[in-house]
Amino acid sequence: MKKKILGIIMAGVLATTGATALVGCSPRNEVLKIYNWGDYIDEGLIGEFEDWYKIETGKSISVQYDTFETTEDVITRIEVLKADYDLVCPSDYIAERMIKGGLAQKVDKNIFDVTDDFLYDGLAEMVKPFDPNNDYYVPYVWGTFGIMYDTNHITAGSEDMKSWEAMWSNKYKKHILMKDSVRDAYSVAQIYANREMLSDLSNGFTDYNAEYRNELISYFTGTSEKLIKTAQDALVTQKRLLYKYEVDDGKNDMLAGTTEAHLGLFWSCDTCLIMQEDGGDHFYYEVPKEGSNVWVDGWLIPKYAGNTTAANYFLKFINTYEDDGEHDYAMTNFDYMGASMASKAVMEDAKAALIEDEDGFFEDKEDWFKDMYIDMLFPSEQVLARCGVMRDFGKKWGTELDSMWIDVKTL
Amino acid sequence: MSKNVKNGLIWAFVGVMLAVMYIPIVILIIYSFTGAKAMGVWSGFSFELYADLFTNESIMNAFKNSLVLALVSSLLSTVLGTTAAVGIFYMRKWKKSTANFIANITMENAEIVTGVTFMMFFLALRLPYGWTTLIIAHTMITTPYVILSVTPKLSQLNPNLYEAGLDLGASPVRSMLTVIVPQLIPGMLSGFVMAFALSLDDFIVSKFVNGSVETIPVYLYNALAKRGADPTLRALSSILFVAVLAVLIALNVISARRKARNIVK
Amino acid sequence: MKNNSTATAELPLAKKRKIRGVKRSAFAFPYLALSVVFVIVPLFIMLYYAFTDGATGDFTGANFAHFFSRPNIMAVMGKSFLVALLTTVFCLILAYPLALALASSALNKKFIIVMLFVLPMWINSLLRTYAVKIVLYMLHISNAWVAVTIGMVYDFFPFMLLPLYSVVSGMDKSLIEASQDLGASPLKTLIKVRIPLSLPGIISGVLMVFMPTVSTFAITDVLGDTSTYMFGNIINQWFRNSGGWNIGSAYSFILLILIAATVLLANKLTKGKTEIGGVL
Repeated sequence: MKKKILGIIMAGVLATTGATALVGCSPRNEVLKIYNWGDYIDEGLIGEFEDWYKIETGKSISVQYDTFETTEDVITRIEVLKADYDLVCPSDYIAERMIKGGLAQKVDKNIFDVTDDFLYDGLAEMVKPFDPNNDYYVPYVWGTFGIMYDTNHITAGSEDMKSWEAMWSNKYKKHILMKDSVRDAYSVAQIYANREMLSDLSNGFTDYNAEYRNELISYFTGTSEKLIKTAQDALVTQKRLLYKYEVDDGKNDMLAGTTEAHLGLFWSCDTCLIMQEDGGDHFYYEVPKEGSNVWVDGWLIPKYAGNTTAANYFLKFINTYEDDGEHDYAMTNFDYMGASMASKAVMEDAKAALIEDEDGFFEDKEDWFKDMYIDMLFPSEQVLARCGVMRDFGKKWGTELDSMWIDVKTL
Repeated sequence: MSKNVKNGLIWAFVGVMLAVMYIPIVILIIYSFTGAKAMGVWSGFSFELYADLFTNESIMNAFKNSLVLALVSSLLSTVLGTTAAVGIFYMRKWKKSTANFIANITMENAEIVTGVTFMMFFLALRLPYGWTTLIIAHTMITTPYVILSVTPKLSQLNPNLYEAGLDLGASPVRSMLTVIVPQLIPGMLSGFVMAFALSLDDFIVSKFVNGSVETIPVYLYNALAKRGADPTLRALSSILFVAVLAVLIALNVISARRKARNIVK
Repeated sequence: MKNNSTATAELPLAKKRKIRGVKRSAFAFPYLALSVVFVIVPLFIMLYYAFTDGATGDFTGANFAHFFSRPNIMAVMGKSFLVALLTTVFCLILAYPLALALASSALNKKFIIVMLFVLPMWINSLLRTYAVKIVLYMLHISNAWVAVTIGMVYDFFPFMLLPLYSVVSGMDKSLIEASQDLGASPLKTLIKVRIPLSLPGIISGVLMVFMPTVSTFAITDVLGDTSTYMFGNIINQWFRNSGGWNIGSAYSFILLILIAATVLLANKLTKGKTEIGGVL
């Protein structure tokens, strides 16, 4: 019996180590190691890339595709573990920290060049502050923050929902979902707490001028004890009005209707998914007038990359969009992701197709839904004028924010 | 109270408990037959998720990895845990408390801390992350559960048997294997089952040491962050569940038949 | 399996702990050696983090001070122990009669039924918790504390049931019969004979449920609301980014000490009553 068990164990260990050895036996320049968010690409494209790479360069490549859960995982694996990933997909502030910390390599502009013209209008401005010449960071998926609400409970287009005050309103007590993410909560609280000043600067939210923008962006670029205290007070006040802090299942609950939540703070990629899945017109998304955040997930080639050539070619591949019905990988990926992508060309064509409603997506839906949906997926200049990107506050302040968030939740 | 009434009551109690235990499982299985992304939404009966499941390479691969990892690590932890339980049982005083304290650490510690410290430790050892680190980590975190399931059986053990084995000329290892182990089997079995289930379910520790090896929980949680729970996992869970149930029933039928045959003989 | 434990008379031989050069306690050696390498040494990494400053790397006690200067967080710690205790008690109350029933002659020790109770563990706990959430919604159970406790009991129940069943089913039937023959009521037999005899299993089950429950966080995330934030959630928050590892390590160290102290205390309390208390 014991021998049998030992035999099974040995066989198992041998089989597994053997399997890993087999994977590891291709030379490093024939392997592309990608580290991306889970379920964040049309996986069919990975196989297509391997074929495409062969045609493009005459060399063979196999993709090793790993996934992560939070953007912090990226910096942990690169900074602490010195992992040899060729391409990673961190969010804006982690990308900034990696660039600042010398953990990223420049993109080879001879293979793939990110120009302002390549990026969706207004997106280039968002990443300029930490990557002025688009040397490192290649935006991939992005979107805004806003309030999503259930139109079964709140009238579509309701004035209330155009302001962050809805998230602090007694009227919706115990029906509000707040995202359980300290950075998101912090910026929303900061905008809410300073809404009067922002209103004065923008002439009652009619003119999003440079002065207003400077004030707004100052909340996202750095912090101080005073600012943290302001946000903390606002969040503690909000807490008693909340249904709950939403982790990952809030979107499913809203969709299933198995929740008391009627409105909440959401990323536009989540709301896109919810609305596509819902198939009806039960949800409305709004970027409040006081201003909001833009979030960006994009590609970086880390310092310890072992195959930068393939990484650069992958960037070229995933952004390839030729209107010949064959080399339109970027569009294929857009169709899968259903969220705002960085490429202007893809976004323009996708928008035109949605307006024409070629797939009949807006059939049997209220008229307001179409306008709202298109505004959400393709944010207008008007919307982006009141948005800024969250920046890296540095490790020390990051810890201070965590401490604030834990206090908010336990006070 | 007549014996029949008493037996009926016992069966009823077990039945009610079983029903409560299975309500969520039944719900999960029901919702595996609809394509909707969120559990709780019914978008019409379909085998969509099952069809998706078998074409989804990531999931099939993760599933294979999860099973291999759970099997290898729980076998290792059953062997380690059983021997440790025997050893600790016969220790005395401070040695015993120290050994118990050590054995309890991974259970007392928050999993995420165990995960981070494993990560740092393997980094210091320059052990590449992957199968080896996963197997070590899973074996270490599941062994305490085996120890805790075997120990109660030890205190029911007749203490003289081991010596009897030795007196009859068996080596200590042989005496352990042929005399003690057979009596510990129920404890070992429950320890193995727990270790297997824990390993199959672990995300937090795996996340820090998995390298490129994706398991089902790792796949599930990673996908959750951006795109919500992958509904095909409902189909996978249902299949897994029904398969194990079928094996269990089959084993039961076989052993019942064998018993019946022995009685006839 | 045969009932070998009938002979309880101790032979002088059993007192001997060292036979032919091999101590029985030596069987623990492989695991303990591995533990020292893979558990104790990493524990020192955690200690190092707990006593250093994340930004500068200097030695500091500030990470502990962060905890001890916050009554709100200490209150959460208390709440977490309370919920873990409640979960453990509910698991025990439900699992003990079930173990007795499963081991009774009515079910004829059908192992398959025991396994049926354990089978749900094969389904990912997060998916199971989502399913529990739907059930609770259908039952209109909206109190977050009730929901969280139900979720935890549901999730950890098999950890209580298995060791209990394993002990109860191996129990010496002759002792129970003797008790009944001597005229003890079923209740008296339960309290005086059955429970003391199954104490090792109870202790194992309690440990296996209590210890992991204190630091759990996934169930509160899914089933809880703003009031059910637990100590496990806090530790998890600290470890979400590497800047918080130092304070997080201090927090976990405090938790580790408290759990160890609780277990030791429980050990002291049971030791006086039975010799098996030493199982702890």
